[in-house]
Amino acid sequence: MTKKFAMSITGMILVAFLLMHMFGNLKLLISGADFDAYAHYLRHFLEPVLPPYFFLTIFRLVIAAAVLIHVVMALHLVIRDTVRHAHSAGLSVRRYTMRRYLEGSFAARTMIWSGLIVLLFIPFHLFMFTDQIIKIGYSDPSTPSHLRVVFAFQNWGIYAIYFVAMAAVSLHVWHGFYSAMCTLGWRVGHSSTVVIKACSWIVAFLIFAGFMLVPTLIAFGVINS
Amino acid sequence: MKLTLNIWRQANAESTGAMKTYQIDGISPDMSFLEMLDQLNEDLTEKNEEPVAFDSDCREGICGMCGVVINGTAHGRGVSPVRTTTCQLHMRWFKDGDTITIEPWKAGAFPVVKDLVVDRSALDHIIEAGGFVSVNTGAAPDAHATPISKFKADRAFDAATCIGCGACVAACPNGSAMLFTSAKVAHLANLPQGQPERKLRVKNMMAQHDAEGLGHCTNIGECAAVCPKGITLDSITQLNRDFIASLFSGVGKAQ
Amino acid sequence: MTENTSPTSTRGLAPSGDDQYYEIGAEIHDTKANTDLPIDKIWSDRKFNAKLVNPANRRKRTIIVVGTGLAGGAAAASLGEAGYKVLNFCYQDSARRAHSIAAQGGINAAKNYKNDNDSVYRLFYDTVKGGDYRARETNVYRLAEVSANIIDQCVAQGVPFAREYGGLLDNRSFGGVQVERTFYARGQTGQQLLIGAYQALSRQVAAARVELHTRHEMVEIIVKDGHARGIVTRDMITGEIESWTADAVVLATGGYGNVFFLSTNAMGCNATAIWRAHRKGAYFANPCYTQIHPTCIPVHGDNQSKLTLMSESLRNDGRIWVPKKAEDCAKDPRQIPEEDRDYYLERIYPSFGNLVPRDIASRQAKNMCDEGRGVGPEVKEIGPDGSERLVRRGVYLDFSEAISRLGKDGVSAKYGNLFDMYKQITADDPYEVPMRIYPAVHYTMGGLWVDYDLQSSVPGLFVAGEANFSDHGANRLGASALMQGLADGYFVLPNTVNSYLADNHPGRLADDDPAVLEAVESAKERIQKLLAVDGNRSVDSFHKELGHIMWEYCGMARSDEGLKTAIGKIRALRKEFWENVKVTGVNEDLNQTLERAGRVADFFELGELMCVDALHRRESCGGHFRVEHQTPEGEALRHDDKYLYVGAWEFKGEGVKPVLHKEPLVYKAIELKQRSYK
Repeated sequence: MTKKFAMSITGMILVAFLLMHMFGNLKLLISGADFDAYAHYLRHFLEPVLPPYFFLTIFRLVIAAAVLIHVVMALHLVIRDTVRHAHSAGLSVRRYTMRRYLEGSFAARTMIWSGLIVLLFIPFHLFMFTDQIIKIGYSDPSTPSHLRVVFAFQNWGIYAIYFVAMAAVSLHVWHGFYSAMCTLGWRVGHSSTVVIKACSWIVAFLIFAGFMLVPTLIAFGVINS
Repeated sequence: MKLTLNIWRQANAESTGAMKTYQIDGISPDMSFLEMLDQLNEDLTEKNEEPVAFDSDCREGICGMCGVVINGTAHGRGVSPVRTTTCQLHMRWFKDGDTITIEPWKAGAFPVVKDLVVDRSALDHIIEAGGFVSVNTGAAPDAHATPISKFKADRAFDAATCIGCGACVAACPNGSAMLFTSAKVAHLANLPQGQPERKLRVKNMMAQHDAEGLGHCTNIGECAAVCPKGITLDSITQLNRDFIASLFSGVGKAQ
Repeated sequence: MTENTSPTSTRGLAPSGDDQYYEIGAEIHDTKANTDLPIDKIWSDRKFNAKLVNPANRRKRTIIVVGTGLAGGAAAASLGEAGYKVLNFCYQDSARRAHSIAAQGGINAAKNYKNDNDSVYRLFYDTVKGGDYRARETNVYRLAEVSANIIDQCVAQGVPFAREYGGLLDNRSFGGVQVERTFYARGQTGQQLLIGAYQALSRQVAAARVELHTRHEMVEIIVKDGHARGIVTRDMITGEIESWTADAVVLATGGYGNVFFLSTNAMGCNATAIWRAHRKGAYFANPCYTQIHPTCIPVHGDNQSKLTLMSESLRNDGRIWVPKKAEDCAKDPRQIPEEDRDYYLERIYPSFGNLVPRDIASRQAKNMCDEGRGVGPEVKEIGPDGSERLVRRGVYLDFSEAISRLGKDGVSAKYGNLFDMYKQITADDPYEVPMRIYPAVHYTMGGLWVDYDLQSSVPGLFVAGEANFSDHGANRLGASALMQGLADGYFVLPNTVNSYLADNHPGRLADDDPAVLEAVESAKERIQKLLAVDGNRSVDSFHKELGHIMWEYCGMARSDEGLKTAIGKIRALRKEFWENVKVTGVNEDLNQTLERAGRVADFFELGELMCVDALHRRESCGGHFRVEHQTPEGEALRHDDKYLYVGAWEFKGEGVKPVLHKEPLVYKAIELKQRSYK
């Protein structure tokens, strides 16, 4: 039980992070310079009170810890259940030869798979834009941030990878947000269920649309270098 | 009606089971699903084959003894227009010539005993861990000593209608008994008599739930969809809230 | 034919004509209640005089409780709380599934919360009168006395009884009494009370004071030196035959309505435990008292496995009728014009109409169908001449008049849940088409004979709930079964078993004691015998045929000739059973056919005894209606001068005539009256 609370809380932290991240991305709609300024500002937040990179490092640590806890707990629960089933009944016995779902959504039943897609996507994303281990469409490491983004999404392959990843993350958040609210005990009756479900729709839609807006505009040439 | 039945046959807990196909004829639409199985068993006995073992007792939808997965849904909820137990499902919801797939509850914590019969003692163990009010016979005050608001009493009742059939576990992709456990928690949490042990109860029952090898709840909702008594997911939220409260209350620590 | 079976007659042959069926033995009496005291002092006196077991010694005494329903579950939990070592058994996979769970209506208690003149005495009086003056006064008074404690206990356990907005418990009137004393929990009172007892039991299981064995069926009782000392069970998963020994045994195994095959009982309800005890010396009292409920959903075909009860309150607004002409029976009832309908209850009983007592309503429905004017699907059955025939078994219960008077919403508010239930089972919408109803067996007042301590004629063997005969006489009032089960389990047994245990505690028998070995061997032998027959007929077909015989001759209306025919038929069928039954599979496995075969084998013997009891009781009382003994209006006619006694039967061996022991009934607190509904 406590594992699920840990997942709910870290999940909510990650949703908040995603919304903030998305907000930053949208700066590209104003101008490339604006986007670069935002990226710069993150590194020098509250300077000179705090030393350079201090806030960003703390921030990254928190996010990394949240991801780590979320993933470890998820794997732990899934593996525990799978092993138990396999142990007590045999995997083949557990599966129904015929199965029909009445209520549970596709997203709800595939949380572990959408989660794994996102998990694989995170290093790819960091190697591309943070560590620049993967360079798409440029070779100079000092290329401004906004140009690196533009070059990347002019590549349809990269666009497709991001599309799949964002679809997975939205599905994950769509059920995850609702589920976390339930697990934390905030669903108390019919009206709160309606509100929570509406919120999870909104958050999931915002994340998908907000993150895919800029890449789509780039891919279709509306935004270019 | 003439039907083709695909039924899970398994000799005992140790052996591996498999689906087997049977043909049955002369089924009237007014028969209940279990009466259809009765007839199959009569046919099998006549042919000197071993009848299909399945559990059933009251056949009024209240004892919770019966329960099989029919065409992929527990108690055949996907076939019936209303909430139902297997015994209250009637053959009129099937068509002549249909193929019906019948399987036992399949969950890690419910080992198959034989054919369609499973061992649900995990659910009893959860109740034994705390699903009661500790009051000895004879120690009760007058029934009117504590008024209970009708609203609360009705909520307690809604949760208390659980029949312990295990359909929630069978339907849950994670094999969790959260709906069952939460029904008892919500029943007693809504009554003043349940208050003194409220936090310890939820802690102990959840610990037992996990120890029985039942899965975790990811709020999918299949359980509530098949529940013959209409226990809602609200009771799971009630359990969650009580559980969080119990984490900060210190109960059960010093024992 | 002369009838000389007066209560004071001494041992000897039964009256001529009956002497081939039974013999008469010595009178028996309850010796535990001090009837010299005023009736309201007897229970306190008994509790005070009962010997006690020191709390430190209780854990050294083992008590076996068979059954986990209201009586068994409550007894096991309470005895566990008291500190005894309890071994508890049930045939279901969980203690929570006992058939007490299916009771709908409610539970009576003399709380007088409604300020309508109720009292312990009134509940006592109503119960004795409702039982047609065939119940033991002292037991019934105690039942009424502890009824109020039951409600307190259940509320403390968290049973969610219906409440009013003020937060206090609601009551309703039930079963034709004039006070509102019935506590209820929607239509699921039995379920909620049973879950309460199950929770209390679970607590004792967790505390290791009760050792619970589910999926264990009692197949034999161990008696040594005349005392009950244990039981033999069959593990229904592995087939293992095990013996369990104890200082005392409590049977709380319910009624025997399944003798009739079709009843409102659960599929597994059986009489094996009490019948095995009967064969080892426990007297069986009043086996012919069975209650038949008029408003059940009718049989739809010959594959029907059980019947479902609907609340009798439906008769308050529904009108019962059948077509006047037999040829109209297959028609859509809405096509039958008003002048072709026979509202037979209103016609025969103009003053009471559709609200005549249960037994009359049931009997008339049977008469209409026997005349060929029943409605619904045609069902195959064996007629009195032994040939197969097709009969429609159902009468209409029509709400069209009520709907036009109260409106659909008005009817729905009163009966909505019943209408929904009816619709789910039959697919007919009662708002549009009249309901079809037919009577069904649903309770057996008879059972093992017990004294005031609920101890049977075998010392150390206690019997509680529907399994005993004690409180309902010849007819049970609505909402009294739950009350009796819980009274026996929570409040009576924990105060009487101690009296036996204080004097009798030889310790548990060794597993190799001859009495234990004999019981285990006879159980094994019986199972092997069932498996060895290897005939051609299924167990269910025998059970169905027995049910038809019982229903035809020992059901709603019984006659001298019919009962004698029935006894002959049952004997023949039983003989065929042991020569031609087919039990598939082996013992060492989960074998549901074998389970049923064992139960049906006992039903044959019990069914025969029911017919003998019905034959010997040449009067009509409560649920026992003899066509030769009725008033000119067709109501039950008692003969208090001859039959004011409990008929307790002693088993003398297979094929040997049973012996009737009479326990005279003495009414000191209540004046005997003829039941009248004028």
